[in-house]
Amino acid sequence: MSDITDDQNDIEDLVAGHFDGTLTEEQEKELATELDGSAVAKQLFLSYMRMEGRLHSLGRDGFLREPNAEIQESISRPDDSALALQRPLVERPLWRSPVWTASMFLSVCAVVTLTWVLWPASVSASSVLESAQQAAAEMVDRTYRLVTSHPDTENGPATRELTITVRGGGRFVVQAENGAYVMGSDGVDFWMARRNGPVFTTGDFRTLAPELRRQIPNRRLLEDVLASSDEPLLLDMSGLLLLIEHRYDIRLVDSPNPAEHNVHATRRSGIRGGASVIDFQVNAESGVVHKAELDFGGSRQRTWELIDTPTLSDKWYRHSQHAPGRLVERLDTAE
Amino acid sequence: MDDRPLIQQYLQFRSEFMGYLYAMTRDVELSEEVYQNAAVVVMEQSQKAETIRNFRAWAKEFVRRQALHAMRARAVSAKHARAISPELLDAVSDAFVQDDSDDTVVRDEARALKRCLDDLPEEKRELVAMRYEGSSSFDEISEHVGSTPAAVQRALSRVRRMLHGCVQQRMRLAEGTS
Repeated sequence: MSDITDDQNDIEDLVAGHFDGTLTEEQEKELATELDGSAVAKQLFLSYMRMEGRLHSLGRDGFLREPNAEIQESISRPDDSALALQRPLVERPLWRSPVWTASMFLSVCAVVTLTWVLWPASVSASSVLESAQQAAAEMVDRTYRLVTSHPDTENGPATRELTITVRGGGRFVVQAENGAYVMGSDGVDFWMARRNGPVFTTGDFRTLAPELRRQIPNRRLLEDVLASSDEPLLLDMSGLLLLIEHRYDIRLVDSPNPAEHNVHATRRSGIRGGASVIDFQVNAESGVVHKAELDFGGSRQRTWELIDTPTLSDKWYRHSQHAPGRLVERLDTAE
Repeated sequence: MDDRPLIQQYLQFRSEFMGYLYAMTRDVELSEEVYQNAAVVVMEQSQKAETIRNFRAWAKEFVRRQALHAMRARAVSAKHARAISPELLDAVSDAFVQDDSDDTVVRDEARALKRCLDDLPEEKRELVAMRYEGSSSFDEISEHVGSTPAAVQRALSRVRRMLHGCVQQRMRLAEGTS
């Protein structure tokens, strides 16, 4: 009996070690042998695996903390005396936290002010970024073509195109070039419809953001612009510029066109995810971004290009304008 | 045959699929990416007239293929110091694909886990939250708790075992075998 228990403990050590990432190559092979030959080991592994998946899912949805739990400044640990919380853990990426945003904002302001004081007559990358952010924040309809190229799909290189029309106040419409789907927001409700399919809507973006992301084809294409689960409005140029401000080092590069400023943004070291390099062109007078090229490495690229500045009514951002007469299904609950 | 839209059925298995993806990649971001890419494939398939008799098995195969594709891409980029041994990847994939655990068992496990989490002492729950909410590394957590990464890793390993034991005990109690 105790042999069986010892064996199970050994297997559990290997299983737990795998999820901890602490197994040696030899131990991994040992675990593989156990999984191939022992039904008990397999069941144990599968139940650990499901638990690991659930913990990640619960964590993603923010259900791992007590609803009203306050983060303690110091928590003593009876069985882990070496472990004591010294300060609250940031629950989301640092660059999304209010403190970080405020710090960054103040830093940018300081840099811009210094730049202005020291070199009043020159144009800096920061000032160009600032003017671009101001222009992007205007309540003006702008239509961009978003092109992505990916050399490493299962079917070889792929290029996809989307048309995105955005306006301040949360309004946007995304149209697939082939008409396979359309999605958007009228500033109140988010909606999405596939060709001839029902319209899915929600007014609760916080709840539905993951649902929407899972339901849209070409999700990766939108990944960078749909940058925050907290802010519905980052599906626009403002969101891209905000990312640049927070996560990239920028410098001005020579432009052959005097009516344009070109900015080269390089992702700061230590920051993961997103494009490694972003180049964008800004109209020198208006601050409007005409073109932005995002390089994700490995020849994966994404390009935003301004193609129109139409005048559209508020109604144009409603699903009834793009998927008329369809069945409408509200998705207001999380998984 | 389940008449619900495929994507709804797919979402129902999120935890199971994410568990598998994490077991394969040990990278939360990559797991999420593969999971969502597989969701796109599922959506595309839903437009086809093909009848799917066993969605779970059908979707597992998609997820498995997407995972292997992502693993290959990662190997090419050589981002990680040491890849998981191919023997183990195969064994994990086989276990995942062949697993036919009853849906009821899977659901009961989920309920049991939530109760077990509720029973966790606050400081342990906090540690779990740090690890799984923000996908913080052992290094990052250790900075916050003023300890070493190894101590954090051991503590989390103990909590995980505790949770797993609690889930199994609750399952046995529910079955009346304990």
